Amino acid sequence: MTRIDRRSFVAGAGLMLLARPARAARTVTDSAGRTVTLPDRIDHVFAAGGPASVVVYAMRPETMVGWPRALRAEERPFIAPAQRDLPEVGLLTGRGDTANVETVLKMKPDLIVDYGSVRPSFASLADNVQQRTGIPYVLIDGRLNAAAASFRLLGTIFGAPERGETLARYSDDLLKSLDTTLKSISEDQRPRVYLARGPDGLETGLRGSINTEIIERAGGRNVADAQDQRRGIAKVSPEQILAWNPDVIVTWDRNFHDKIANKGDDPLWQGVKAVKDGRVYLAPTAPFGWIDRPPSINRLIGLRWLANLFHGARFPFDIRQDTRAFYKLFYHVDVTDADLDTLIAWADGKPPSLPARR
Amino acid sequence: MTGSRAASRASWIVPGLALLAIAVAAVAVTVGAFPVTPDGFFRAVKNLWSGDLPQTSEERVLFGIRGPRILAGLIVGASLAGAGVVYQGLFRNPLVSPDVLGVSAGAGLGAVIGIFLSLPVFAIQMLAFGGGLATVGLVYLVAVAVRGRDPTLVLVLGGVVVGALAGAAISLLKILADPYDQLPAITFWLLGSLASVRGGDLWNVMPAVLIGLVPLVLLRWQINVLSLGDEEAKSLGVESGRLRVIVIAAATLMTASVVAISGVIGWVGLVIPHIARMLVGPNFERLLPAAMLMGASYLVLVDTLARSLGRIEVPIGILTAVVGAPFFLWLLWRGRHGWS
Amino acid sequence: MRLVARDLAFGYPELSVGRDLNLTVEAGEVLCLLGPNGCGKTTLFKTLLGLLQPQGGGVTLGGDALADLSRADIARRIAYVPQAQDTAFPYTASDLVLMGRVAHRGVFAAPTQQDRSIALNALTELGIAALAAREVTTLSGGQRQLVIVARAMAQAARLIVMDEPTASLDFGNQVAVLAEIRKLAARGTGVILSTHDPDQAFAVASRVALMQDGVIVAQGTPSEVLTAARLKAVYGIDVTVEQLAGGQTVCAPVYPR
Repeated sequence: MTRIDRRSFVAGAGLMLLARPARAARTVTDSAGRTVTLPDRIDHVFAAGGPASVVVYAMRPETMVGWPRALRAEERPFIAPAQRDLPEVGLLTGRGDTANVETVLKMKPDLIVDYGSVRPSFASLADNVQQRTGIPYVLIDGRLNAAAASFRLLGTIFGAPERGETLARYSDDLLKSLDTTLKSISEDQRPRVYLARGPDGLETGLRGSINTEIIERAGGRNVADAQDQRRGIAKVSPEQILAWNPDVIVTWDRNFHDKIANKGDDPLWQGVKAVKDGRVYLAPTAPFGWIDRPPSINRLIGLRWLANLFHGARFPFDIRQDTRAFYKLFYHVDVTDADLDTLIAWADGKPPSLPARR
Repeated sequence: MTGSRAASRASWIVPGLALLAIAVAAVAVTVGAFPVTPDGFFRAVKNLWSGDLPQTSEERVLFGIRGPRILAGLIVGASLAGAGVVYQGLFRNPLVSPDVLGVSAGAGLGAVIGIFLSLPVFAIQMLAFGGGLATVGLVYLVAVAVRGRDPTLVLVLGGVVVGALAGAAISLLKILADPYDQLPAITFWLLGSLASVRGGDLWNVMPAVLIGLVPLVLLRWQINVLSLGDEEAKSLGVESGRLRVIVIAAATLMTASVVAISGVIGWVGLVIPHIARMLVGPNFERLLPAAMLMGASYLVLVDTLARSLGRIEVPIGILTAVVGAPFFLWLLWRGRHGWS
Repeated sequence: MRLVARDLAFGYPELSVGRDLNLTVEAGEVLCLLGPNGCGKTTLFKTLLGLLQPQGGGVTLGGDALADLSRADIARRIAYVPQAQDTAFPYTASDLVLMGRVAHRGVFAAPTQQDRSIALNALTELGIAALAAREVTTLSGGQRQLVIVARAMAQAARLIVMDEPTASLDFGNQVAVLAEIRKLAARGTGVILSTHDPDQAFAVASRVALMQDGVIVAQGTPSEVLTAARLKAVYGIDVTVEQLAGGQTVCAPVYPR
């Protein structure tokens, strides 16, 4: 054993004193491969954008410092009372931010969470924000297929591994049962689906975009296929939709849905197979959209719903029971009957509280 | 014979442009994503003739989708070009388009508000129409209040200011809008599109366009005189102040009503009047119909490209700029000697 | 058709240019307005034409107050040939002259065949009928000026106001325009013109008004008003007024030796 050199002892002690004091630190590797140092306890979390806010709310709602956008009146009944009145804090994703950085710092968050794409450009944006604010920033993979892994990672980050495991198991079970069902359904048995956006329904998401990946995942085929590998949102003409002649139309725009749900009203859409067959479905949107808006874990319930719409009895779905269960587990609310009726109106293609049409 | 050479040159140009517009429309009817066989085409026409409701998908496509869209292209193109010609004469400036008094910015603001409030399509159109009219009205009020020596200059400056304010409001609403829902819809509206036009829209738009067009046609010689300048016009017996109000109101009515259904489409009101003036001269009697016919053909042509370049639509405002801007540069280079 | 300006004060909203102006012009007369640059000639003309509001006093035209007449009424009684300026648009000469007929037709009407022949006659009178189909932006400044004069003639008003009509014309055309003015007067049209050249006043004017700083300092026949002393007082130069053998009066500047 070497004699402890007095100088190196003093130097070592000095270094220890200069090192970051207070809570003990730990490091995690986020979904983008970044190594981030975190405090031991996470009490205040800033969700960097819409998708992240849903995830943080699901995992540990009590740590949320605010919502990126204030809740609308129709969304409030589906959010736990404690989080209903959290302040609006804006976006802080490093690009098109609406959050005031000083306001964010005043809230003293222990962590910033972002949920979505983990491509290098977003990773560098994450580094940028982390540097500017001095707050640890983790970037989590937002793809549907990565949901389980992301929940487990968040469980570690938040120090709530059981919670992460519960939610991860739900996602795992859902995706596995879905894959099992889909194994026996061939490509041409899968319905051709058009996702109608906007008040005129002529805006859609192209196959491969994050806005519509739920269609393929649920075992449908998105008709909006720009074969030159373009993604994102685009406008199409009614003629193109007629040429595609989708079997199913899904929308969450109430105005558009009302227009074509009464078949007599709109001659342009009458010729489309989905309208003729009455397979036009209005996706619920409270508190978060079932198929998008934002593209986050809120889509899990939408996945169940769509799989049932596409494949019927082969993928069973009790819209009332399963919805209640999901909302209880993920959104911490017990949905009343009345609220549920409002929520799922037209979600099965039939007018609410009327006998089946077909 | 007075001005015989110019008159005879112009006398076949306007009918020629009319034929061009018809030809472009006829070709456009045959282009589209939905396959229509020549057989199906004739059957559809026969059905229309006998007055039956559309039975087949082909009829639906031809008369419910393509037909109204092409008609809309004709009307929108004609209105924008006509308004452009009027404004360029009124303001005696080749860089002026129908947007100079802010009608597009105002219509855009109206529509963006409608989208932001998640209103149905008809409400969005009405807000756009109202927004366009209100903006020009506001600009006119500003001009009257300021009452400078040069009335047209004050109008243009007022248009710049009010247009900038409307643009700022639009930008603000874009920030506040839901990025997954409303923002794409806003972006597409501002880029312009004829995709969602249906027959009913045309019935709504035509009265306003005609109400705007009729005074412009009737007052064509007075507008000629007005383009000489305020003082000279007055000395020739034209009540220039009153005429200016009527002309601006008429041109704005035409522009606001078509922007309400098509979104913001630029360059048609700027480049087409130039080309028309090069062809038939500045006399409004020939220039107005020439510009309107050219505008109609141009927009139908560009719209046909927009909907046939691929599965998805290219926003028409982008195409008119891509085609219009280089052409405008060429015009500037050629027209070094002034207006001719 | 008589134009009467009584105790007229004129100028722009923030600027007073002239005052106490009394003037009468009859159809068939030629009144020449002489004065240095900036003395207010153009402002006065604009006020007489109703393009500017008088700041005091009034103008009557054919017995009616200017303020009571519509623009078309005014245009049918008095025409305006402004100072040479660029025309923004390439109208043909015949179209431009045709615009002089607009005051005679209703607001919604187009020029008739009769209007077209009147327009062509005006161009022919001035010897520029060959330019009828040419675009005015391709004409020289002088030719353009003649087209505007033709337009004023087509307007068929009993009075014409011309603001420096011979500026930018070559010598030959200057004389041609002056001869035309004499012809107009002989046919019963009254002309008010402004000029810098006293010779022109001697050549065509039946009366002359000498203007300085917005005030008419002398009015009368050319020989009464255009004396060497008066011209020196207004322009500050030495001139000599001589009568030539043929009876013509000319005014020549005296250069220092």
